Amino acid sequence: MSLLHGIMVGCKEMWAHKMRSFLTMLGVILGVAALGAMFAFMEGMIADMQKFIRETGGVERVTCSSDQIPEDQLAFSSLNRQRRMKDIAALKSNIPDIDEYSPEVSLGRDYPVQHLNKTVRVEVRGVTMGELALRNYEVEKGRFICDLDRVKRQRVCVLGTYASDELFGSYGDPLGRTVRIGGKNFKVIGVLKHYQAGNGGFNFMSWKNRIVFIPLETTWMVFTHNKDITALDIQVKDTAKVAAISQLAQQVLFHTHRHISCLQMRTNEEMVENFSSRTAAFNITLGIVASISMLVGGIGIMNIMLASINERIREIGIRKAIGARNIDILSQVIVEAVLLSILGGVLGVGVSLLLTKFITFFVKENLSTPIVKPEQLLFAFSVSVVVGIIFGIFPAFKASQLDPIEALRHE
Amino acid sequence: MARPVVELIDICKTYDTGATAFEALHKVNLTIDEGEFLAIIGPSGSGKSTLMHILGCLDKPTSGIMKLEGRDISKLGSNDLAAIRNKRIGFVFQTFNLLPRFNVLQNVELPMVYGNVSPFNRRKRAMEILETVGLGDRWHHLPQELSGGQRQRAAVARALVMNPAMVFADEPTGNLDTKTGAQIMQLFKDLNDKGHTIILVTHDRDVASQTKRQIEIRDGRVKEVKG
Ligand SMILES: Nc1ncnc2c1ncn2[C@@H]1O[C@H](COP(=O)(O)OP(=O)(O)O)[C@@H](O)[C@H]1O
Ligand SMILES: [Mg+2]
Repeated sequence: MSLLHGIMVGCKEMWAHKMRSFLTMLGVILGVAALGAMFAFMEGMIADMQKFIRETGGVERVTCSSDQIPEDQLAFSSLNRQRRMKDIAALKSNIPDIDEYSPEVSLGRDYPVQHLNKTVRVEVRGVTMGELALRNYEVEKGRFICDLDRVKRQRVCVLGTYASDELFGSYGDPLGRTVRIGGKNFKVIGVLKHYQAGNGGFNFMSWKNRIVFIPLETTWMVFTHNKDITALDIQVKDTAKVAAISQLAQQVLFHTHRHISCLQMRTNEEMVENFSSRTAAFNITLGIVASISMLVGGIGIMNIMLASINERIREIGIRKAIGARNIDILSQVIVEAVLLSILGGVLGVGVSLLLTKFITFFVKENLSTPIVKPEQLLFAFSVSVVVGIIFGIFPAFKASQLDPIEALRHE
Repeated sequence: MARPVVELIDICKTYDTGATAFEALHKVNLTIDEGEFLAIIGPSGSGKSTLMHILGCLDKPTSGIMKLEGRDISKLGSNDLAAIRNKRIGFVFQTFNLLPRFNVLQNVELPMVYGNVSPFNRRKRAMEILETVGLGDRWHHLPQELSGGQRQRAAVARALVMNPAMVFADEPTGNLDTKTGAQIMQLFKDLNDKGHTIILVTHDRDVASQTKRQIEIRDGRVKEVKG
C-alpha cells in the first residue's frame, strides 16, 4: 500500500471529525507541551547553576569552612586556635599543587560605608590578591588591592558596583575619592565589574555586587585588632586533582589545629553533585507528569481509533474485497493513529513555546530564563510519534483481522 | 475452444452453528469458461452468496478443490488470496459499496493502490475505464452526488479496472429502478460482448433471463437451467 494513500485517508478522516480528533489530540498536546516546557526550564536552571558555580570560583575552588567540633574533643576545645596565616604557610610548604590562596576576614555588614550624606551597608572584606582568582572577580576601573597595600596597611578600598552606584551615582567617578568605612577614611582605588543574570528585573547575581574589599592587614589593624582570618579558600587549577588536594589540605590543617576537627574542606564539586541530584529528582517528577499525559493521550488515540474502525467496518470489508492484505489494513490504521499524534505533537511543541513565554512573563522572581533547545523539542515531538505507533497497534491489529465477508455484511 | 476460468470439484461449505453444522453448499461441481455471462439464481438463503464468496476467493470451501485459471487455490494463504482478489477478480455489490469520502476517480483507483500501480498510470487507467462505463465527465464527484445508476457504473468501473479474469455482481440491480436496472444490465451485456467474464447473482428471473447461461441453486445443490 502506498503511504501517501494512507496519509490521504487519515487526513480525510481527521477532517471529517475535526472536533473529535482535536479532543483526542489534547492528551498528546499537553504531554508534549509539558515535556518541552520542562526541558526549557531545566536548561535555564542548569545554565544559571553553572554560571553560579563559575562566578563563585568554579570547581577549582576548595572552601575551608568551620565544622562542629566533635563531642569527644569539646573538653579540650580551648586548645584550638583560630585560623591564621600560619595555616597558609603550612599549606604552601606542604602542598605545592595549590595554585592560589585567599585568606579573608569578613566584617559582614557591621561597618557602614559612607560618602557625604549617603550610607550603604554591604559586606566589607579584608582580602589579598588571591581573592580575584578565587571568587572570580574582575576590576572594571582602577586597580585591585596589591601586596604593597597590605605591607603598608594602606587605607584603600575597592568597591562593588552596588556601593559605587549608591554612593557615587550622582557624583561622578569614585576613583581617588574617599569613603568612610566604620568612620575611618578609605581611598577608592578600584571599582569591580557589574554582575548581572536572571530574568526581567530580577538579578540573582546581585550578591556579587554588594561588596567592598580592603587589604587584609589593614582590616586587622583598623578593625579586628587580631590576626585571625575568617575564611581560607584555595584554588587548584588542575580539576582532576581537586578532590585529592582537598583531602590533603584537610590533613595539613588538622595538624596545624592541634588535631581538633574544627575545619572542613569543601569542593564546589560537591555543590555540582548536590545540584545534579536535585535536578534529577525534579526531572523524574516532571518526567512522570509528562509520561502520564502521554499515556492518557495514547489511550485517547487508541480509543478513537477503535471507534473509527468500528464505524468503518464496511469500508475495511470493501478494501479487503478489492485486494487489501491484512498488513495493508494494519499499516493504514497505524498511519492514521500516527497522523493524529504527529499533529498533536506539532501543536504540543507550539503550546510548549507559548507556555514557556507565558510562565516567564508572569513569574519573574526566582526564575531562571528558560532555554529552548531545538533538539529537545524534537525529542518531545518524537515521543508523541512513538505514542501514536504504540497505541495504534492494537486497533490496527483488530481491524486487520476482520473477516471480509462479515465486514461487508456489516451495516 | 474457450479455456475454463474457474473449476469447482465437489465443493462443500459447512457453517458451524453451535450444536449442529449447517451445510450451505453440498458437492458443487461447476466450470465457468472465459467470456461467459452466467447467472446464479435461487431463493433467498439457498447459498448463492456463499457460492459467490468461494468463487470470489473471499471465503474458503470446507472441502473440495477449486482451480482458478488452472491453479489450485484451495490451500493458499490470506495474502495470496488478497492478491488474487486484487488482480483476477472484480466485485459489484447491491449497495454499490463505494467509499463515501472518496470521489469517483479515487474510488476507481483504489484497487490499483493495492496493486502497486504508479499514480500516473492509475489515473490514466481509471479515466479510461470511466469513459467505458459512461462516467468520464463525473470523475470528480463524490458518490452521494450521483444517482443510483451512476454509482453502480462507478462500482462496475472499479471492478473492471484491474482487468480481472471474472467479475461478480451480487444483485447489482436490486437497489435500482427498472429503467436504471435495465441500463446496468445493458452495460454488463456490452462488457460481456467485449470479452469480460461476468457472473451475476440474483433471485430475479427476469434479470437472469438476459444472460447466456443460468444455474439454479437450491438447498446448497447446483442445477443447470439453461446453457
Ligand atoms: N456465517 C454463517 N454462519 C452460519 N450460517 C450461515 C453463514 N452465512 C450463511 N449462512 C447460512 O447459509 C445459507 C446460505 O446463505 P447465503 O449464501 O447467504 O444465501 P443467499 O445468498 O442465497 O440468500 C443460509 O441459510 C444462511 O443462513
Ligand atoms: Mg445473498
